[in-house]
Amino acid sequence: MCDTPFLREVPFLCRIDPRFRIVVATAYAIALAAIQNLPAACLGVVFAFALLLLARPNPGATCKRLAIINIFIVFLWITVPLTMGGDSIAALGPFHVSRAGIFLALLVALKCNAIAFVFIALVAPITISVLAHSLERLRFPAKLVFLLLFAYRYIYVIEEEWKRLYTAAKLRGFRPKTNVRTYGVLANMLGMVFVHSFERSARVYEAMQLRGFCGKFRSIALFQSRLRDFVFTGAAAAALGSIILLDIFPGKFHG
Amino acid sequence: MVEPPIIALEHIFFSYTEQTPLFADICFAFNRDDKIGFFGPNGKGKTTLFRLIVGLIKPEKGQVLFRGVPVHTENQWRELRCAVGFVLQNADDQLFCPTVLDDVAFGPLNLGLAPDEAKKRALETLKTLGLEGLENRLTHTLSGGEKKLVSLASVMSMRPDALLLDEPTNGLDPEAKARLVAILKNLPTARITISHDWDFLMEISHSFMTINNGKLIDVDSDFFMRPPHIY
Repeated sequence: MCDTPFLREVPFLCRIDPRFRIVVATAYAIALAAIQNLPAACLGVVFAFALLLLARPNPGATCKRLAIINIFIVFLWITVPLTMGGDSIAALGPFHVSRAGIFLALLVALKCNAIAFVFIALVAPITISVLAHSLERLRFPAKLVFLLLFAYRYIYVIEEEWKRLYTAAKLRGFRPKTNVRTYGVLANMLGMVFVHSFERSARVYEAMQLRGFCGKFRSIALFQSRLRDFVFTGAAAAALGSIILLDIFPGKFHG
Repeated sequence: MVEPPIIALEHIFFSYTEQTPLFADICFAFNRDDKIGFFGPNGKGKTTLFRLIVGLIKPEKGQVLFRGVPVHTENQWRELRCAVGFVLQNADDQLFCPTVLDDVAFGPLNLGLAPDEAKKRALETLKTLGLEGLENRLTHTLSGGEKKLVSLASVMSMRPDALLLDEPTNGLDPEAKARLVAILKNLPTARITISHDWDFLMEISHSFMTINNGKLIDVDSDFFMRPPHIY
């Protein structure tokens, strides 16, 4: 259910302080989401792909994840060119394929993949524990950081609980079918999982109190920013700057 | 002057339902060198007694004394909980951090240690318990036995004066159990251990008690040798 195929730190990029990587990836995502022109989007893809090559993630897992993202993009390619209006470049029966629609679908596809590249390269290899502590150091709200840590810790426990209940049902001859009884049984099991989780949360809170917890989460993670972190961030900022400039002043590239 | 017991219970009354009082007028002192084995049938309040001692539930009547002083405020309870480590029955409740090191350092950080000191203390504790090498493991990938031992480490890293162990051998295979026995035998910390496993209790305890009709009863170790005993 929650496999983590990207938790494999490789040389170079893994040595960059995770806080810097998170900031760079976020800035990149925001900037790319806002750009309007194809040349800028193309440049964004080029830089993002370069980062991906540097990070050398597991190729199979990367392709799988990109495929999942691009399934959503396929739906855009199907709907947007036919419904956008404007000049038509071809006709499919009563539908007109619009030039603006194709442009928009292409733009979204490029931007989306570029952002995915950057996150797979920079953020996906960070373990949840380090990610949460980095976010905490970046002054992310403490409650959201708790939520991330606990969700990660207990999602496996909840998964196991679900599997246990499901096995228990199977052992007594339960076979899921498409009928009301199956939905009822599944709903009961899901309800039990919620009840157990709620009770568990009370026990976990007690366990925290027993070890002197009084509302403030402290962390042993120590982050040190070094020269290479600033060099990396500077280079990323320059790349981002060039993309933004190309977007604002498209010049002769503009079609 | 005689050193006051770490924990003393004075005339404790407690019940979940009105018809059946769980504890009726319990008095009990837990001293620095005590190693008590605590047994008894399910549902007679063994875990509840532990929860009363650390203030997770409050008695209807009576009071808990920590080093001779009655405990009233939440701050006093917190101090008590840092000195009396409670190892829960279910390790999945106890280990809530993503990695072993985070979890073992959680208590020391709450005691106010600096991050690098807390880390050092956590690594030391893991080493003492023979768990070195586990520090970077994700807690949910540990085996049942490892989880139990790490949850003991997560409490031991606070250097408590006393331990409350709630069925520590539950679900352990003989090998993991033998390891736990070896660790506990070498541990000078005072403790009360709840278990249904008499052989285990005999090995790690010096005195024994059980609960009957809402009262704590001391039991001498001959009790176990005298078949057939009541449980």
